[in-house]
Amino acid sequence: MERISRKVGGMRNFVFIGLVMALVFVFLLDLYLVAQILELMGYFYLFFVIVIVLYGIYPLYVNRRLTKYYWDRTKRHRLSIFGLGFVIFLVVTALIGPFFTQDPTRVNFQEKNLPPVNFSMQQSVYDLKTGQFITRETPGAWQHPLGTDDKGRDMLAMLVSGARISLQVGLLATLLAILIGTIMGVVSAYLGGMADMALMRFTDIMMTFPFFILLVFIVFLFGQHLAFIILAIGLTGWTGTARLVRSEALSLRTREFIMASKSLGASDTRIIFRHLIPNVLSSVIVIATLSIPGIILAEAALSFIGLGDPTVTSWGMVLNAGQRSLDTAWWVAVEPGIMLFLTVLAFNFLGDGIRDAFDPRSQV
Amino acid sequence: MNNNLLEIKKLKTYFFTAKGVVKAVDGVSFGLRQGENLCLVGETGCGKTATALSILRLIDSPPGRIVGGEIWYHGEDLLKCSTKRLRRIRGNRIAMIFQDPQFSLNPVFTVGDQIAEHIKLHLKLDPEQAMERSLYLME
Repeated sequence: MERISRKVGGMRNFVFIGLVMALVFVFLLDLYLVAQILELMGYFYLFFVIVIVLYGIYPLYVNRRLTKYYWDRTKRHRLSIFGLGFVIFLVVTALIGPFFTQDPTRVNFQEKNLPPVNFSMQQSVYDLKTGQFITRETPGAWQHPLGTDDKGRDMLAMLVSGARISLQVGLLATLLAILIGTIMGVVSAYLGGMADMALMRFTDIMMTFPFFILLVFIVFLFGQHLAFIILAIGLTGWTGTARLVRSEALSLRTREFIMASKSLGASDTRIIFRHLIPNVLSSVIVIATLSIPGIILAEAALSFIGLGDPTVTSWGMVLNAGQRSLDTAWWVAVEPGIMLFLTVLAFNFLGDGIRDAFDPRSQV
Repeated sequence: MNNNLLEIKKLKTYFFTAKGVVKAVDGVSFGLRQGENLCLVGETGCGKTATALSILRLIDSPPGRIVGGEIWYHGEDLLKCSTKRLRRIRGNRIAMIFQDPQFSLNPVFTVGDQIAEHIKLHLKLDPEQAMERSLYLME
């Protein structure tokens, strides 16, 4: 059993490269020959799924004993179970939800400002027959369980679409940031000396640079496509990871097994990728989970001030629409707000749980 | 000139610290013939490890540096050969066994993995054969 799993484990990198190449091939085919099998985001998303399945879920499945150990340790945190549950709920909603809801962009002025089910609202409506404004009690309807906004768009559909956007941005930008940060940190710590100095001063510069202004600038320069927003957030969000990973790698570097590996003829790249990175991975996973909420909030903030991708409905955008009609239709602003709040909370709880599970020093 | 496998001449490894120069290895010479065992005995901190690390050029620099001497292995000066050549020798021709296995093994991999890794590296075996070899070695 042990032997078999090891054999497959060695093949994993080939499978990974093969799948990525297939993805790139389909993408190029899409770009030059066929029109739009998937949009750009779809490819990012597929890439993410490949990474997660091959390097996240597969090892957990192969090493079930370890998985059970981590699960038991995470379980001790009640709140982290809530976090995990909500995150799973969100992922499922984002994946299959859009097939069941209405089109989030469909405008219908006949049904504008409908309150959620079980709520009703005094609203002044223009009466076509008399040509006067009359105040009428408007009840919520099951057709729009979470109500509609001032243009009659279905809130549920918009929230589901927003969940998809938030998760895409949160997960992909985090993946990018973590990737850059980890490699920066480990390389910097391992090389030491001038290289370390240069890389860390560069990190300092990136850190001191006002993050949000940089984001606005990048979005302004390259456009408001979601992919650019992800790139912008990912390319600016790696600094904290780089610092943390560097500090951890610095202490690992002086450990004897690195020297032992060197004495057996391992090259620098081998030591970095085979010995240093696997050792910092547990803290990287924790940083990743804990940095997702910040990134989701950054995206929401961007689309709130109108710098998000205008072609997709995200929570920030709905919030922005909602704050304008806060006195006539409170639910338009409150609902995405609650979703953002719960999502951020859930990822934070999950991160805390994972930290307690992965950190051997913490005694829960 | 002689049939020594490993020949060390007047090896000098100094550590340059803020408080001054520490002469860890200062003019050590010895030779080693094929099939011969040589034992370096001394008190703690007298430079046994520094000598061994110097032979494989594993002294961290800074602060350490090999300031003088020659290390001849099979008619080749290890102090002058390229790092690439050195990597072929390390672990393949000259190996070092560290004191404490608890610290000289990577905690995230199994022992078998780590033995196999270097068998793979030097003998150019595929992962499966390397694993078999490492299991065989452990028995």
